Amino acid sequence: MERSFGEAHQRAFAGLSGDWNPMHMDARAARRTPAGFPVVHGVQSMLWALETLLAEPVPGVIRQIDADFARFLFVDDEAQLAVTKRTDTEIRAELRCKGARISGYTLRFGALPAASPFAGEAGTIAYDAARTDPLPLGWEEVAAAAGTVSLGPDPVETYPRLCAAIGRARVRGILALTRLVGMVSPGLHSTFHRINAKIVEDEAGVAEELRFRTVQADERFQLVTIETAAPGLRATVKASRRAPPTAQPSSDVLRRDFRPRPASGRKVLVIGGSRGIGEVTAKLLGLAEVETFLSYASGHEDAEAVRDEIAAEGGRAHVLRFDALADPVPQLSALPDDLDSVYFFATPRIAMRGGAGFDAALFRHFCAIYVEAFGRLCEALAARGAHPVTVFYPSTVFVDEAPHGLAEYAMAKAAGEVLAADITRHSQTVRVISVRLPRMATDQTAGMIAQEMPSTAAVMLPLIDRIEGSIAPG
Amino acid sequence: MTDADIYPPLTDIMRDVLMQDDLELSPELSAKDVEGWDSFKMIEIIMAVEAQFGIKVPSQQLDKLENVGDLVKVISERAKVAS
Repeated sequence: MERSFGEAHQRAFAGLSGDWNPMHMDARAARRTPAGFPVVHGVQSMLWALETLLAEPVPGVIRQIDADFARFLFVDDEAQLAVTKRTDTEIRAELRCKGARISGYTLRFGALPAASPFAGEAGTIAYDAARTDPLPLGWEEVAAAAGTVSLGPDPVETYPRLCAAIGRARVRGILALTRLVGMVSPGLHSTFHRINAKIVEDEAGVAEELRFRTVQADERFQLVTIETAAPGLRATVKASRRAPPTAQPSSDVLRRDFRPRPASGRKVLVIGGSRGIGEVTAKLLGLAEVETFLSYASGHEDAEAVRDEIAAEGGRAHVLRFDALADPVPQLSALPDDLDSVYFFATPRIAMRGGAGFDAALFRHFCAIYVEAFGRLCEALAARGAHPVTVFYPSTVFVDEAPHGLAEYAMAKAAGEVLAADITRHSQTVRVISVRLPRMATDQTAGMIAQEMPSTAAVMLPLIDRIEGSIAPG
Repeated sequence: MTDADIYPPLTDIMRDVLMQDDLELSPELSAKDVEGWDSFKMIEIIMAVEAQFGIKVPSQQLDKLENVGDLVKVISERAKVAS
C-alpha cells in the first residue's frame, strides 16, 4: 500500500480539517522551519492509513486509535503502509518513506466505554469555523490554553470506511485535532507528536465542537499534553511549540555591532543570499560598500527584503534567481564580467536518512549541490575571462566531528573541500577558500532543546574581511 | 533506589513510548539499536521517567545520556537528591 500526497491533496485536506498551517501549505514558509519543505499533515496520512486498513475485515469495534508522528513526510514523497501486528484485539501498522519510519498507528478493538465528563472550566479560546490564520501563541499562552474548536464539514466522501466504522462525528473530531494543534495551540509554530484517541459511547445533546485544555506543559522542551473531548471521542494529544523562524540580525544591528572593512568597488555574488548564512553575508557585504548580487532559488520575496534592507543602509544590492542545479553559464551572463568574489551558500532540499546505515541516495543528493553544482559553477567562472575571482566554499565542522546521522552530509562537504583545493591548484583565475564553519543559528538548526551557537555574523565577518579586504587570502 | 527498582518501571515506560512490547533493556542499549528512538521519543521517555520516579532531570544532563545505563544512573542519582 503506497501513495504520495501532492499539493492538491494538501489543499483538500486543509479544507476538510481546517488546518491551514503554512508548514503544510506554503513552500516559502516551510523553508523557514526545521522541515525545510512542505510537510504532509500527520493526521492526513494517519486517516489514509486507517481508511486503507479498514479495507480488510477487522476483529471488532474500534475502541482506541493511537498514532505517533515520528518524522516529517514531505509533500510528493512516496510512503508505504505496512501492517506490523495483527491479533484479535489490535492491529498495528507503520508508515515508511525511503526506508525510514514516519508514523506508527495502533487500532484497538473491544467494547466502548461510557463517555466520561470533560473536566475543567470553559476556556478562553473559541476558534471558529471561518478562520484560516493560525494563532501565534507564546509559550505562556500555549501552556495555559483551553477552549473550543469548531468541527469541519462532513468527511464521509473522503473517509467512507472510517466513517462507517466509528461514525462521521468522531472522524470530524479527529480532524479537529489537527486544526487544534496546527491553528490554535501550539498554533503557528507547532509540531504534532502523538494522538491517543479513545472512542466512547455515543453522546446525545453535546455541542458539535472539540473542547480542549492543556494539562501538562514542559517549558524545557516546549512540549504540551492537551486533553480533548468531541462527541463520542476523548483524545490526548502531544505537541510542541517550535522555535519561530530564526531572525537574522538586521543591517542596522550589524552596522552597530560589527564593522566590516570597507571594500568599495568590489562586485560580489552571494548564491543563496535570501536567508540564513547567505542573508547575513549579503548584509555584511552591503555594509562593506561592496556591490552585491544576491541570488535565491525559491525565496524571491525574502531576497528582495534583504536587498531593500541593504539599500536602506546605503548599500548597493541586486536580486537574481540562480538555480544551482541548472547550467550556470547562461545564469552568470547577467552578471558583470569583473566579478571579484562568489559565496556559495546553495543548499539542497532538506532530506532525511533512509535507514540506520549509509544512504547512498542521500549522499548523491548532497553531492549534486555541494560537489557537482559547485564544480560546474567554478568551471563557468573560469571560462568567463581573465578577471580573478575568489570563491568561498562553506564546509562544516561535521567533517571533523562526523555526528550521528550526518555522515552523508559531512562526506559530501569533504568531497567539496577536495574539489575546492583541486580547482585552486589548476585554475588560473579561480581561487577557492573553503572553511569548516561551526554550527550556527539558522532555521534548519532550530531544535527542541535550545543550544548555544555562535552568531552567524561573528563567524562570517573575519572571513568577509579576509576575502574582500586587503589581507591576502590563503 | 537500586537498579533492580529502576529497570522494571523503566522497561514499561520505554515499551510504551517506543511502541515495542518485547523491548528488553540492557545498560548498553542506545537509540541507534532501536528504530524510532529519536530525539522526541527521548523527551517523552524523560518526561515519563520524571513522573514515575518523582525526579527532575536537569537539561544539561540530557545531552550526556548515551544509553540506558546512563539513564538508570541519572535516575538513581536524582532519586537520592529528591529523597
